[in-house]
Amino acid sequence: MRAVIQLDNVSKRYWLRRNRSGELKVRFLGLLHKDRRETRDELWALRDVSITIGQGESVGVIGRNGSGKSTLLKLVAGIHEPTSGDVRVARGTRVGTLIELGVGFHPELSGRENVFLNAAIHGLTRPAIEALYPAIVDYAGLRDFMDVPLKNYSSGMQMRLGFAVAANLDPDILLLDEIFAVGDEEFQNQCRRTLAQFLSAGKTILFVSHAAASVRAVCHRVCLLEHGRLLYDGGVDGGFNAYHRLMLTSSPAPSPVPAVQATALSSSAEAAGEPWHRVTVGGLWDELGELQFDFLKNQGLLPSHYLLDVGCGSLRGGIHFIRYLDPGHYIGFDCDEPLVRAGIEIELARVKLDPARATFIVNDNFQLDGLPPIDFAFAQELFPEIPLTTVITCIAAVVKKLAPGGRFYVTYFEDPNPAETAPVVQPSGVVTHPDMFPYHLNFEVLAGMCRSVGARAERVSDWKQPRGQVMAVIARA
Amino acid sequence: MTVPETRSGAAKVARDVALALVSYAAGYELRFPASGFHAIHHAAVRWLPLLVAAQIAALALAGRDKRPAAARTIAAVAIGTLAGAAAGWFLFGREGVSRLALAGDVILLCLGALATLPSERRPASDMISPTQLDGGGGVLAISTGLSAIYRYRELLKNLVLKDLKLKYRGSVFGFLWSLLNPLVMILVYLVAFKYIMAIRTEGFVFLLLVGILAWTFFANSASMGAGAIVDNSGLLKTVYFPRAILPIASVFFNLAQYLLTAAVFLPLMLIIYQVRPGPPALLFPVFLLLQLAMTIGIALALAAGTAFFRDIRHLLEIALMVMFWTTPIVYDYHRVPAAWRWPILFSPLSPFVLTYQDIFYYAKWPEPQTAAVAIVYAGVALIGGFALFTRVQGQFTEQL
Repeated sequence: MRAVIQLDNVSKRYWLRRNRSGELKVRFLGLLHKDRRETRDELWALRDVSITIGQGESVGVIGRNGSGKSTLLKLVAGIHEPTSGDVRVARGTRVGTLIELGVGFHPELSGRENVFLNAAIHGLTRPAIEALYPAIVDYAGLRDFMDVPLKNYSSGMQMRLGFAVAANLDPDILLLDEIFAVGDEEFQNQCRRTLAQFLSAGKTILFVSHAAASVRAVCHRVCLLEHGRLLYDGGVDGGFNAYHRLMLTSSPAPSPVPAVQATALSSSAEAAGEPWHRVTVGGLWDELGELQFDFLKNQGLLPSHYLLDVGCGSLRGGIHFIRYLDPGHYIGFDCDEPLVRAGIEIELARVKLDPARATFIVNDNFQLDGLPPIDFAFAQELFPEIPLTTVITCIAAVVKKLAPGGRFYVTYFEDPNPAETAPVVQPSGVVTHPDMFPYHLNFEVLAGMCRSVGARAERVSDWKQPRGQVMAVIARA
Repeated sequence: MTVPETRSGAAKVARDVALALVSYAAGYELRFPASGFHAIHHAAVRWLPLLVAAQIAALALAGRDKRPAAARTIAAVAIGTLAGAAAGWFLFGREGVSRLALAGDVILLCLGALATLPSERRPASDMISPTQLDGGGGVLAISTGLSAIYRYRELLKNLVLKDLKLKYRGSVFGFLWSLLNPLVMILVYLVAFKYIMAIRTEGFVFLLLVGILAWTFFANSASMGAGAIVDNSGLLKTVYFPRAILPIASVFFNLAQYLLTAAVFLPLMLIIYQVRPGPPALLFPVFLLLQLAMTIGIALALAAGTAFFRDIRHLLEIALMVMFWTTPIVYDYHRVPAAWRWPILFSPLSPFVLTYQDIFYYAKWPEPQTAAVAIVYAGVALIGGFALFTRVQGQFTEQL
């Protein structure tokens, strides 16, 4: 499939201005008074977004208000220029922009004059417009009104005329922004029929909307944006599942990794007699640690490999890995400093291992700077504890650190029904939720999130975990 | 997009030579108005090779063919020009040297370099930036900008027609209003100057009309052009098209009005004053084109500036008021004391008004000095306006 739209690490920064210096007065006063000076805050509407869209694809861009959807569309349309990164479209394609219906319509001009003006704004030449004109009039169904000034049209008629022009301009790439939000049902149906014809003609559609029904009717692929970052790139069901979960866990800013709160996973019987640092990570301490170790050895872990243990906690797996790997090749990451300290001081001391054989990183935003390329990364029972936005932060951070051929194994509770956002009773009896601990995750959502950071995910079937979590492996695409 | 983004070296040299000649001639004429072209001819022939060679050397040193950075290229051109002039001075002495010409050289050549400098290298792949699809956008080259506007000529035409239709539709007298405006202005000045202040000028109304029509075209274009970007923010934010179309459309709208009113008044005046139009009147299209180029350049610069500083519109009103009186419209340039003539020539429209008066009323060829100034103004304004506009147009949608 030939790529027709390509976004390469695209970022877009806006300046939010107070005391705009559009007036010279502000400039002069600013020299005297500090508080009259122009101040500007930066707002990153898009951050490192990479998307490639092939010919004939219909891609929906979803996300809540202010997530950067419209900015993305305007960058592809050439209305804005990216602050960094590259926006490219295939040479020789015609891009049709439908961000607003009836761009440049003037109420005093007649319908016919407005059609010619509107088509000219979209770059058509006179003969081309004249050839299209009868089709536009037929499509709008306004044959008797073409010589009437637009101010005498109803708003519905104006909309029909606007869409009639746009629908007949015949672009190779159509950029749409929420046009279904307006108009009656008949108009919406007409729009959908037209878009279906577009797709069957092999044209490419990029469609911004939060209306699930419209996106489902038109698109086969969805890109989810949140705070300007691409969070998901994949199938429609997974995209909306991720989107609805975002709405449920609605947080104004990307949340840091929450403190581990996994006690709910362990039964009280397991907890009895266990020290706190073992209970906190969910009990079954020894079994799970060995399980991890055996699994990774079967996957080809050698002592010379570098291993990143994401959410290393109190080192239930760590004690096995540190003994097995070459000195310095185990890197443990967690957000909970007391827990890691307990692991080092109690568990490592218990098996008489030197803490200097390992590296530990403790922070709550997945800062993994200064690490060597990682051959194996492992996130055991981490994803059920963190919300979706944190999952994507984690995947993005780890994937960036993977060596060529490196793999990142993650476990999570499977969400069998991505079209709904209800709690799920897992086979092991644990009730998982889309919006609170313990979280579940659908594989398609995971795969889409991986795709958004240039990685791909596969299911791992030969993994038997006592609490019923499933495993997936993530590698660079 | 078919326009090549890197020109051949020969074309660049030819452009530099042409610009150097224009500025040299204009600067020399301004400084030594008494002497004719023949006096500077041999000096120019000796000097120009030095100037151009020094520029080429400086550009080669700056590595122009590798990655053209605007600042470096301009610095190279400026340094090259000055170095060439210094060499000329050393070799031939100061004979035939004009400081004004040197300043003009530097300005013109820098603008020329800026305007034809591609700001982006041609990408190797089949994928291009969306603003390049129409040949406009991030590319600074004036020819690329013009080709994009040519591709959107239907839009240009439609915008001009829209404004014309909207202006006259629904009014009873329609186009007659456009004739009434200059008529009343002439009447007022006629009463004020001829009858109240009793200033006697031969053919006063004829000269006044020529000046006022040309002035109205210029002033209205400037004020409309200044708002062309700001007033169309809705359009700019919803669809991409070459942005320069908007200010250019307001210039063409006023050009259309100018030509329509001139077509009515000029024959009338020729009949009333019994002036037989001579061959110099044939030069009118040439100077009209030059005035158009200058007005487009100024409108582009004003439109771009207003997007960033709204005050420019207010400043423009005042500037136009001052300029009206520094342009020889309601008074006779030849009666102005010689010491006061030079500030008049600084008004951008003065050379054009003087030329129109010459070729229509006096039926004589325009003075080479005035013509040279007109050419320089047109070139500087057009190239500079385009360069400024294309440089900042990517930020318009964020400023509005």
